Amino acid sequence: MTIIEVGREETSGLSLRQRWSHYFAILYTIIMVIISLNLRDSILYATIPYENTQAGIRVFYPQNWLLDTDGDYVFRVRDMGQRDFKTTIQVQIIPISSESTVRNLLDNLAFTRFQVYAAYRQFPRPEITLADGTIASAVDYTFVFNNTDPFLESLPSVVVGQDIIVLQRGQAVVISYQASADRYDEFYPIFQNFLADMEL
Amino acid sequence: MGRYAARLVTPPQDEEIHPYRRVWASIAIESGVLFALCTGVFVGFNLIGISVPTVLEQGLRIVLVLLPFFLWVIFSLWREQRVPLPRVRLFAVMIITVLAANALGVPIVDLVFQPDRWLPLAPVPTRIVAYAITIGTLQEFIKYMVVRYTVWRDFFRTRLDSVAYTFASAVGYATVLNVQFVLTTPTASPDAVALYVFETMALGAAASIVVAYGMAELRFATPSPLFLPLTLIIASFLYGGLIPIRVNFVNASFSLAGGFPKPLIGLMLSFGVLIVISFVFSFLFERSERAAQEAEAAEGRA
Repeated sequence: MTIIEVGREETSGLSLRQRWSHYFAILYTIIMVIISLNLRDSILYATIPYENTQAGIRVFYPQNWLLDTDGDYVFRVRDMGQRDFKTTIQVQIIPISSESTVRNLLDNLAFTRFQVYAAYRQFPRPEITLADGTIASAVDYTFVFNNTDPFLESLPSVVVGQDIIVLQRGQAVVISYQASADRYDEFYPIFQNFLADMEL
Repeated sequence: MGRYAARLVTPPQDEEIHPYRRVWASIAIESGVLFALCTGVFVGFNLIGISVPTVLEQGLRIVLVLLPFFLWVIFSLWREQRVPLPRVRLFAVMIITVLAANALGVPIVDLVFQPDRWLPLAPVPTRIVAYAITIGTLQEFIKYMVVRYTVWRDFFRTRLDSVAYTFASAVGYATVLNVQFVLTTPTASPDAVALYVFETMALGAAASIVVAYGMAELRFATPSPLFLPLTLIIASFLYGGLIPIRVNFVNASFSLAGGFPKPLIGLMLSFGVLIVISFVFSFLFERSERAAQEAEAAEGRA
């Protein structure tokens, strides 16, 4: 049996040209959204390499962040575009004795930070595995940051941080990520990329 | 009773009744009044240094952000009711655009594109392209979709209906952006609000006129299927591409010679763009209309 479809009603009076025009407009927008998301990610997650052969680290830090190597750390970058607390990634190397454990180191860090940061609190987290397979200890913490510049008249802000601690070659490598509480999750992927690309 | 010779009395002429509201005149009046008021507020607060109590300042901010809407109601919507053949669904187009902008446009820009996170530090060419393909494209697409699915085709009786509807859409979108600006920066001074309100409205209206031409051609002529997307691209670059240029005028440049903001130039730029786009596209609308009439007359003769 053959079925011949006749007299099918046109549901809308659009011409083929009008219909395609509309499809092209939608297609253009979809393409632009994809391109803009790609462009956003390529700018937002653009990195610059940093290498310190003396300390034995090689990292890729976010473009436009301020690099600083003058303190008691090997490497520190900060996002200076933030109004209050500058989101920070820092790598510090601490010599340790052969009997030292991660617990000793965490206690030592906590003791030091109690004196420097207001309302410092520490929350141990399960161990994590870095990109190269190294097992590292992790600890989260919070403190209250108070800008000391009286001209800025800023309110104190709550900062959330995470330390990743790796013991190797008689030294502890402490990788810290600190951000104000409301931006911690937003910038955490940048820290994860930083960890994934880091070579110790 | 005196009698006048018939030859001395001017014979009554048949007055041509225009059945539709004159769209270009409405846009000119609304934009002119908005420009005058915003410039007045800017000069008063920024150059003369007028100071008002905080409560009044807050009230002034609210009036300023709603000013494009009020002007549109007075000079477009209200006048529409006084012509023999008013355009219907103008208010519906405006309200649906407000809802779409608030539900889609603003959240997508803030949560997905997040231009504030990555564009301020990018080089100028990147910023122009990026603002155009993010904010510009999204805004023009939303306005296009609202007009497309609310009134396009069935409610388009003349080419200029397209301008009337897309302008209503532009007013709705600009109002949402203005309200959002005041809510996110509650301490903004009235002169800054006036600048923002005018520039947002003027550039949004200019971009809408470009898309209006594409929609009108698609309705009344047989352009290439790529013609409408092309007008969307032009409108996107017109709105988004001018954002970094406008911002450069508002913010002082950093130089050894010292930098000063030039907000009035930014204001003039926006007004200039609206005037140029209006003139160019009114000419194009007129030309298309005449070409259609000539084609119709030629068909009639044949």
